[in-house]
Amino acid sequence: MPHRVLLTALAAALLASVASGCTAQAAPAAPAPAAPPLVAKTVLPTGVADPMIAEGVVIGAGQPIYQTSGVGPKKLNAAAPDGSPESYIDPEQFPSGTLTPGVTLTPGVTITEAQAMNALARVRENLEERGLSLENVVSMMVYLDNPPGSDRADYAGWNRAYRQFFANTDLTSGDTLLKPVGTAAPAAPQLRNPARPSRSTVEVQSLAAPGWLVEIEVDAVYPAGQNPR
Amino acid sequence: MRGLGLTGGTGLMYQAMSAVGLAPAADTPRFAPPAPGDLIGRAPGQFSVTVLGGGPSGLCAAYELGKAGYSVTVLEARARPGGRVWSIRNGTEETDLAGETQKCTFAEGYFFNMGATRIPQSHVTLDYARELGVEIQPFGNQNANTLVNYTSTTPLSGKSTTYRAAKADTYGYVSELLAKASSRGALDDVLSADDKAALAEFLTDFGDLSSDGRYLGSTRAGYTVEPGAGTDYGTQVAPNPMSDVIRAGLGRNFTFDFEYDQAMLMFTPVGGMDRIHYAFRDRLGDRIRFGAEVTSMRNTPTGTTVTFTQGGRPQSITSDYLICTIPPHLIGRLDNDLPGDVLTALTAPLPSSSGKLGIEYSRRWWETDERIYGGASNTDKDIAQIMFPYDHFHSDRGVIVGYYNTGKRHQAFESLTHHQRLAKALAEGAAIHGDKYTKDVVSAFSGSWRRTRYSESAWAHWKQTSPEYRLLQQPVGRIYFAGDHLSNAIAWQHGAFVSARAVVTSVHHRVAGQQ
Repeated sequence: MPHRVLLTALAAALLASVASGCTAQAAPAAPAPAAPPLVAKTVLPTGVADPMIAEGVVIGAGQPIYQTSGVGPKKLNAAAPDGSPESYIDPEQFPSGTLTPGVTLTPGVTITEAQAMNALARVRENLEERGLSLENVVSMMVYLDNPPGSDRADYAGWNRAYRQFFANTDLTSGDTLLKPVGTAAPAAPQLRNPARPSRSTVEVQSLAAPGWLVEIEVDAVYPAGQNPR
Repeated sequence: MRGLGLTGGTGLMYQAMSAVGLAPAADTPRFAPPAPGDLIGRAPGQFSVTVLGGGPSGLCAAYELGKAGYSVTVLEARARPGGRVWSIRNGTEETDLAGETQKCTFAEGYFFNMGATRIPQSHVTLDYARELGVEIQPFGNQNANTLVNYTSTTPLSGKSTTYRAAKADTYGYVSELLAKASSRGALDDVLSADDKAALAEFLTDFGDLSSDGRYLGSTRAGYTVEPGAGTDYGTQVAPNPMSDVIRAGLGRNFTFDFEYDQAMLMFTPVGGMDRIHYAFRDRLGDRIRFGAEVTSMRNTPTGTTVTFTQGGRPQSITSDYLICTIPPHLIGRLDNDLPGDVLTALTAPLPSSSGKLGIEYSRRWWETDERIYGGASNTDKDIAQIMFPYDHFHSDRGVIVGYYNTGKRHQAFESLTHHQRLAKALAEGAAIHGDKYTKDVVSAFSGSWRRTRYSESAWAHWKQTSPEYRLLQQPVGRIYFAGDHLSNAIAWQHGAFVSARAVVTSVHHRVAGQQ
């Protein structure tokens, strides 16, 4: 039972750090021998109120880590041809703006951005099914294919989508940061999430599902006191 | 079913239990609650049912089964009954899924309903209010004195107009246009001369048209200077130009209270919607276990087993039957042995975003300055609407609902912190009701159902004709599903109640048929 008490103490410390706008961090060092085990600690650039990603992450030995497979966007836009990039837009996410087959996109939204918002929502579902949340993500690998007509991956579009689900709190004030979708005015993001995981983004020749431009893998660490069922 | 006719007690027969007024429409089949005699001699021992969730469907199911002597246990994760029926009042404390804690500091007796807030006359919710002795009062679902304010490409863009003036102008011009079309012969292929005469007579009245068939303004629009004594004839609100009224879409929300479930009169319990669910709690007593967080549910060869933690202590409970009212998209997170098609079906009802912000003012400016007593102002801004209180008229303070919105417009608030939500809502509200909207604010409390633990959704989005919907109407072994999402009144307490009643009836038939 002492072990359980330690985990609970760490959970409280973790919640406090989340509330103050920091991502998953270890509790402050307590006097030995009661030092709680490290859960995960992302190393952020110093003096930046709104960093995009971590410089790296320390993961404690004690906590279970959940690693997803590559998650891509779900085919949700029945109006676009099968296998087209547009078929992987989630119409629920885009209520206004210029028209794409079956979807009304917010102005300036790129196809990579729209697919990435869809894919990130699927990552969220994937984690929530396991009792995790996007806040528990410590590391991320992103694969982008070039959008049609371009010889380079749309990193800017991907990053806008990313900010809708990650790295959208002010680390100083704790406020939620308004972030743009496409060229629209910055607004409340899809999901408030202080997490700034370590991340790599690479361009690939192709992805397995025809029409996919985005595939995402994440590592999420179970919070202290919580285990996979 | 054959066995029911032979062995069923009074509660099993679909006969009128009470002849007067319980059915919303004459041809609606009546619900016959299980009755105390029904289980006598049916089987050894007592039948037990565990109900997961103490919201409207769970409480209703437990209450109705309890009438026949079933041993019921309701496991409710929260410390309160009602689920998405949640009245916010002094002392309400909640930590949302993002870890932000709010504590309500409204003056004693003041409240707003974060979830369900109104009851149509046809809903069985009123029957439960009556049966449980919960006092009700009218709820203003429309008010000619509240405002509409929309963005458009006309001079009316962003300008506030009373519903009364917007209706006078819209009905007036539409009547004028139709009268014109008819009198010019444009409808001669469908209207006889007699028809046209009758239509003209109706339109003259409906639009308050002049003798030559034009809309020139109407006293229905109200007054800028009220009529008074003697020769104070008052100053009528001038009509806005026809093209502006039409293009500005001032009538875009007029049909709201045409809807079957939004038409006046509407009702609400005195003191908050949760009064109904506290009344259920009072009837059920310690058969509800609060703070019980379910971790697993399974069929066993002889019944069902549920594990849960209460006060940090893992526990389990076995029972003959299980009624699961946990929101569908959260059921898959439980340790369970549901078949794959059921687990897939549970992902079909999509979660949705909605929520409200209550703002406590130390001055009822809406009554003293604008003569608004209840109802709601409507806008295309993110706040969508401002709802005025139906309680504490003429007191020295009050709580208005600063937004009640859904989908994208709610998402414009959902991921913000509480103080950011309040700031945005005050700015948008001030653009409709003026600078006073930002003054005399005492406190506020906001909530987003998508970010509220144990709900994580305002209501389900899906089709009641889908195969998944039909599948979840069926039990899995001895596990039954209930909730408003399994009814044709999604997002209404009525839906939760009729779903619970259907499951209660199924379980009771099954038990009574068991010899």
